[in-house]
Amino acid sequence: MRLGLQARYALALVTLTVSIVVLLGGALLLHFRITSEQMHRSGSEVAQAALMSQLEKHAWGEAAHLAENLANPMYRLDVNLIQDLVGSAATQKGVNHAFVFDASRRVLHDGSDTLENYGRLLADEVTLRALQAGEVSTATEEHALVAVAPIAIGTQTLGGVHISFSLEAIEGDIAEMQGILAQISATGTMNYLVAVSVVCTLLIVLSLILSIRVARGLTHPIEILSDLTRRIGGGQYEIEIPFDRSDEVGELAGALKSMAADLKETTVSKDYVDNILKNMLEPLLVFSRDGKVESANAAACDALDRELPDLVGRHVDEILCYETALHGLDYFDQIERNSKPFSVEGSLCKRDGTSIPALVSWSSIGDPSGKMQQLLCVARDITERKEAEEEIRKLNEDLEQRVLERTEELRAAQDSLLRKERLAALGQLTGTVAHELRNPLGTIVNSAHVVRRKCSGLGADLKEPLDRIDRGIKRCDRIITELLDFARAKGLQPEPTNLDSWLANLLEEQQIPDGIAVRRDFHAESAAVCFDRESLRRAIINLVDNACQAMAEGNGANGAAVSGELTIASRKNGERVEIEIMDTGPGIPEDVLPQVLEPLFSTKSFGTGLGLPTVQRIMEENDGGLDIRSEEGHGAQIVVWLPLKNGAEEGLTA
Amino acid sequence: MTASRLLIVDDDSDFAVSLAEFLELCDHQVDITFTGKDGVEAAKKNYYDAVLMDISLPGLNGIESLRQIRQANPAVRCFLMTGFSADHIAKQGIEAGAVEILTKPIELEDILRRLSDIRATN
Repeated sequence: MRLGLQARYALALVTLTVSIVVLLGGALLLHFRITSEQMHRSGSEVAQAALMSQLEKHAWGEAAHLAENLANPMYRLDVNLIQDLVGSAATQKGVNHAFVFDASRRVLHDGSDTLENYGRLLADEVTLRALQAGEVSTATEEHALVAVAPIAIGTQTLGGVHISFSLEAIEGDIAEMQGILAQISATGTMNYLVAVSVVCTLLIVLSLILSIRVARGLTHPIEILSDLTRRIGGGQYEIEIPFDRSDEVGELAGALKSMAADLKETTVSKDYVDNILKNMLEPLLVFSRDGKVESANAAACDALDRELPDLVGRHVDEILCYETALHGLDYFDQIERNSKPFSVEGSLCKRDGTSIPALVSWSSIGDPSGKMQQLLCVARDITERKEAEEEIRKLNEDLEQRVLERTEELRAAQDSLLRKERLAALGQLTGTVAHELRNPLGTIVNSAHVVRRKCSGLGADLKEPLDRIDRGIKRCDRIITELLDFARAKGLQPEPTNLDSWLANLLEEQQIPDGIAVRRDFHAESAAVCFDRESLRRAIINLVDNACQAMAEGNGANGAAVSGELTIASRKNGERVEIEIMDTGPGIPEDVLPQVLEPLFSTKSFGTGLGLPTVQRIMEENDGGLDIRSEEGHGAQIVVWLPLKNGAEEGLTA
Repeated sequence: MTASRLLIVDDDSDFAVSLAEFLELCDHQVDITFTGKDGVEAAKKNYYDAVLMDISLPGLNGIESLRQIRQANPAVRCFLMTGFSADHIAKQGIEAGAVEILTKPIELEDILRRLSDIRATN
């Protein structure tokens, strides 16, 4: 059975008190007994001595008195008197015998009639001493007191008296007295025992009460402190000591209080750290050196889909895997060797076997000597990053494709731009050259006319040379016109126009060589388009001229009659309005078809090679375009088109 | 054919002289200046049936010269001459009061016909 400190303390105190009390009581009792016995013995001795002394005195007196009384009878040898006196003495109560003896210590008379003891020699020590000293002497013999008194007259010793007193009466008195004393002693012992018992009991009870009180006084603060300790253990650090003591308990209380304060300090920081870990979004795991999970935060539990108790003790390889051939412990070795934190991409393995891509950061936790004790692992979920990377990869592919496409488009655009720039530069050059050529050409024309006038009537046959000059001039002029047309600056003035009637008027003004039939096939009808009439006029004339020339070259060379059919057609085609100029000439050879739109390309024996490029340019400036369809031997078919424009019907003019 | 008094204004002297020579051969009376300023001076001093004016002249250009001449003598018939294709300046020239824009090289038979028309009108 376990006893509380208080009980043990009280018990010890009580035991001690009881022991002391019992010992003390026992000692007192023993002492009492010894004293009582001594008193008893002394009492009886004193009584005995007193009785003996009394008896002795009596015996001494008796002997002396008898001796005195016998002096005369002895001297006179009055036997009768002697007999009376001795007989009277011998018959006294308590006297064993009474002798009278002579100087030679022979019994003369014993008081009896028979004289049984006559002549008996008394050689005992008392007799000798009494005779020698000449005075009464006594001695105690067994159960008897002997008194001897010498009988003398003057200096002459006549004999003596020898009386023996019985001690029986005295001894009986003594025994009686001893009995009384023993009884008194026994009664006293009993009373004493009772008194001692009562006192002891009272002392024990008192000590019990006292010890319980003292024990309580000692253990109560301990109980309080114990309770406070429990409260501290339970996380209550604000404690109040309900007593103020300067003893050891007080010191203990002080120590407890400061411990609570220290604990509060450290515990607050623990809460702080715990909170941080708990609220960390990223999984955090602590591994022992042998690769077992020691602890993990809530995020880690969530990520791995395991409860903390299930997680603790698991091996690192159950939780983390890497894309590399290395395992968890290989990395542990690496960390221990390098003692540097590092990150590696891996996966967190969930309970159901699926995994999450993670960036795993490792660092070591060492003891003060630097030896690695644990490993700290933070695993950042990089699912989104991985997805984003995949997305980026796909986007990159897509982007590459688009960049390729766009590059192609840009290259085409750049080509077009370059072509336009080239054309613009070419246009500027040709414009300047053409203008500068026209003045001298004008001078030549004028001068040729002057020559022709002045020569007419002089008989000089200069007509042919002058005609050749004129033809040359006309060719030059045509070339210059073409160059200028090509070089013409922008500044279009688009106007809504009814195409069919505009075309009809244009053809009406145009001179078509004899032998060429013109077929009009206008079906644009009410289609209204918006264009710069002047530039488009030049374009159409250019095309008509080209067609006529092609037909003339095809079959009308060397002055032979020209024949052929020129078809001018118009029609709506979707969002476009098309004008088609078709001839029955030799057509454009397939191999030169891609080049006919290049400036300065010409198949004609003379020409700038700017005709079709100029037409194309005009059409493009009017938001339209030019298509060439040609089959060698079946004539050329040129289609120019313009966009159909909404609202162009307004303000139509022919 | 009745002779007309004509003024040619052109900085290209060969062109101006050759044109003047041809017109004189056709019995017209021709004065020549080589700048717009001189042309205006001449037109203010003398009467001309027609003025043949180059458009691109140093200093005072053909169109501005034409305006000044027309201010001095609104009746004078003016022809503008240019080495460029006529279209883009034709409008400006007509506004300034030109009868017609002629593109170099000039069709001489055409100009003779027009001059005779003018003479007839006057």
